[in-house]
Amino acid sequence: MTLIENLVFGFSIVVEPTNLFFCFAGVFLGTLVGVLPGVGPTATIAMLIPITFAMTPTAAVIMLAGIYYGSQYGGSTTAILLNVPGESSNAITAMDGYKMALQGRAGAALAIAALGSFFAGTVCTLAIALFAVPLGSIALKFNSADYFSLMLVGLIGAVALAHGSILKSLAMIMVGLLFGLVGTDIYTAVPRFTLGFVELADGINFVPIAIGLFGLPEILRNLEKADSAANAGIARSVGRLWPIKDEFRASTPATLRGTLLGGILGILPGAGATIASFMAYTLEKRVSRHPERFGNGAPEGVAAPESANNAAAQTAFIPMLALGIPSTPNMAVIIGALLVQGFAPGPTVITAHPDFFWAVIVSMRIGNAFLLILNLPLVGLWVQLLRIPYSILFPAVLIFCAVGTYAVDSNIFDVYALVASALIGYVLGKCNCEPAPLVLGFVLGAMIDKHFRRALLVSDGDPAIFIERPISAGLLAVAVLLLVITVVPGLRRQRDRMVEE
Amino acid sequence: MSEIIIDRAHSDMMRSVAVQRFDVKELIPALFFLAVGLFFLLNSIFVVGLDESAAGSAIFAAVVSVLLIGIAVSLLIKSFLTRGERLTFVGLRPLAAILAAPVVFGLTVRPLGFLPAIVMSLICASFADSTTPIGRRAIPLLLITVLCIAVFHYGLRLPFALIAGLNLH
Amino acid sequence: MFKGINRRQVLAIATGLATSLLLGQPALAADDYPNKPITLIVPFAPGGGASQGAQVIANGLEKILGQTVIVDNRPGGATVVGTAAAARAAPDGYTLLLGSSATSVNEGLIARKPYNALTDLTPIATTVDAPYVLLANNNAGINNVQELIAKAKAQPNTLRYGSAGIGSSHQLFMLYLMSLTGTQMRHIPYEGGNPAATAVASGEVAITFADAGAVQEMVKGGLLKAIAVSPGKRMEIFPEVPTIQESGVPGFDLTTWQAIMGPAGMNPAVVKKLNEAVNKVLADPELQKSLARTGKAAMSGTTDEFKAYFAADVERWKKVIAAAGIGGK
Repeated sequence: MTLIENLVFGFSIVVEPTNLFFCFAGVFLGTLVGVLPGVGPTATIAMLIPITFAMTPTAAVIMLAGIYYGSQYGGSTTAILLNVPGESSNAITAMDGYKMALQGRAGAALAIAALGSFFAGTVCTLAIALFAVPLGSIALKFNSADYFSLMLVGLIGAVALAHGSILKSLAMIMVGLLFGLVGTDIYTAVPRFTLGFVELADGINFVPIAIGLFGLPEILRNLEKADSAANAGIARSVGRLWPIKDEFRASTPATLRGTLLGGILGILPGAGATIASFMAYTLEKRVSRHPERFGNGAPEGVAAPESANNAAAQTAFIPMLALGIPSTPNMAVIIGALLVQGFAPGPTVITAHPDFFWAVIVSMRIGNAFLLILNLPLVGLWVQLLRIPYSILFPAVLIFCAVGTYAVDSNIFDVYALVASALIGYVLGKCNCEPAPLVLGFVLGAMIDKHFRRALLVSDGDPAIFIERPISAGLLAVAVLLLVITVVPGLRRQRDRMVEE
Repeated sequence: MSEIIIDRAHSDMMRSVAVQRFDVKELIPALFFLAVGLFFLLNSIFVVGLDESAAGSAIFAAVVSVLLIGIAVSLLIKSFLTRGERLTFVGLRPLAAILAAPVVFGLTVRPLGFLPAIVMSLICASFADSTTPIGRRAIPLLLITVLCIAVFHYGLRLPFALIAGLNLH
Repeated sequence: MFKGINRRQVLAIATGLATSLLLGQPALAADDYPNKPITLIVPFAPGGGASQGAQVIANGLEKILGQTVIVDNRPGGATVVGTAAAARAAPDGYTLLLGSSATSVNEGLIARKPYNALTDLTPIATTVDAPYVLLANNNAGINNVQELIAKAKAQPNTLRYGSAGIGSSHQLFMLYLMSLTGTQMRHIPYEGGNPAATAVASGEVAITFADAGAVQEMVKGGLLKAIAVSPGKRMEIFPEVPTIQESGVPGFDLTTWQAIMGPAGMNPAVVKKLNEAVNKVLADPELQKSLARTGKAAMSGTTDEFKAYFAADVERWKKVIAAAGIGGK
């Protein structure tokens, strides 16, 4: 069967009323869950699993998948409007998205995010349709050494996230790295930096840190202003709903690059939507001719991470659908649900159950379309919500963040992390220390350490493994290149400054 | 030290400002980085131990903390070399109210129940807002409480009892 | 505020409170148990295999006991956090724990924990039995256990095996195998069973144990080989795969299990009622079928059988862990 025939076949299955309904329900729920800070698709999916037992496997995956990529959409909305990332992968969107909102261009930001996500979703669904199995096998090519080098590239690129003092950004990255190392070391089973608290044995959760560093300080900053509670400088005017031509032009290449990067990173079990969004942002900033725009409301700064995280969310299904490998905990949950139904995705699925495979693929398109339709007009609703006096809005946002954070693991230390990050984010933010590098350091820190040591374990202590493996060697070369590109202009600037003096 | 404006409505209560001899924007981060770096470095050396092979348990942390301390020191030096502007922070009361509210929730949700926890947390948060009179705050806070219960308890079915001890699930 | 309530009503309320407090005592309440919702503490993250299995059992119990059974996920510290919370709870039968192999393993693995599973928990009923399968990379030249032993003996400490982390069942099973066969292999820990299996498929490690249900598709798709299964009897989902015992390692009969437990000091009548309810849930043919599809089996039995099994399990793993020199923190 040709691709078109397959797609039509899948389409015919998806438009069955039950499947269509579950598709819509899934993306709707996903959007809501994405908007709520802290609560994520994993918990929702887990909660709905018992309901899926009454559905066909096809409908089940259609709905659960919808929740997953729907939450990416919802998360970007609160990130842009309130600087509170709904999902960890939206933390980066908040950086430029919120600035755009403050400039009265929230509508454009939301539209760029939605369109970018839709584009990324479409391209990636096509990629899944055409190249599911070969793409899936990429997941199998990466070993620990390769992951380490990949993370290293990300880390060096993170320096690009800085605007302002490079020293401070480096320091923030390192602080993030160190906090990411808190937890039980998997190689020696020794708890590190936990001060004896068993609640810290699994490390500090990422969600409270993201919310605490981005969202809560914004509340504090808004409360500073005179007669603060009555009206704060939040994004009151959403502005035009549609981006202007300049913004379109700026966002298009960003969207393309973000899609490509996110698509590839989504396949790798060790990476994910969060890393994809960060890397896309740094890539965009790197290749931009006006890097100083980033962090001040650059539309590319919204387009890149949003398309990247949606691309990654879609391609995360590839290893599961094609090979039966769950690349993220979310996928594992979905696979689990299917298994109980007696239906296991994997290499045999495409040939043995073409109806399932193609229906899921087409449903992703339809789901993305639903999301577009849902989100753009919803902007009007958000505007109304934002007109609520801040004295009512801020307790609501605060309590939602608090409950959402605690609900993740019922761990009081998550709340402590939330509050501590808020304080740190607020005070240090005033001192021109950007929160984003810290977050990136945190995300990458633990993983870099893990992969590095595992690679050495595998090679029995021989560091040559990083150069012997072709993927790793290539990535290391990129890292070195990035380092040079980053440092040299800095050196030149130093030289110029010294010459001036 | 920098100005700390306690209560926005009473600007005449601003503390007087001493002559600024350093740039607080460099000093505060420097101190923070120094503290973090020292904590992790000392922890690496004494608690976790730097033994083991090159794939050692805390070597990575130790190296990074040393670098961090290095940056902290250089920022510290820099902070004394330049004069900075003043910084204004939100008052102590709003700050404490906002930071304490989530903690109040987290600590009371299991012993007291979801409903009391939300109510107490909201009350704590509302201390941050000194301009709105209490009367006008009551109804919106009630609405927020109802909304939270609807979304989290009935919608997401979080496993927290509405009121601890009662079987309202 | 008290205008609307007169003294009679206050007396009524007080009596009601007192009665319910009295009725809450374990010694009296066996007949109308349960009369309010039960919380099942699951010390695993929501959505994972363990938690889903617990949810299925909880749903079944709801129907039989006629009360809501809420799954309360409390992950952390390799089940220590949730287990400690359960051990602390009142033994009135309204807080239960999802025990598992991890509960017995932790006795030997983790010295510093706020409970002792043998004295602070009441075993009630086993639920599910989830055996493991031994996987091998396609290009490692290992087609069965005998070839594995030969290779391992030829190059001691060179062959790499994966696991879900130190102290995980994956590693412990391998340690037991190595002790029975006199071989030495290198341990490479991963973040979970799935990453370990992926590592076998990609070749970073040669072999690993893994939850049979979770990897069956990867095996069927030919991404890696299943060379043996861990229990004493062959598994339905891998009918042609021999057991480790059949492959020439007598005495190797291991599986991972889940069970319902409670804090110590529960009323024996309540324990009996729960045990019977669980066994009824496990007798459902639909449940058994869906369990079988995920490579698990219903594990019904009496409380005494469980008690004995649990104690033996704790002992066995204590020995293996001590011999391997891991844990004890």
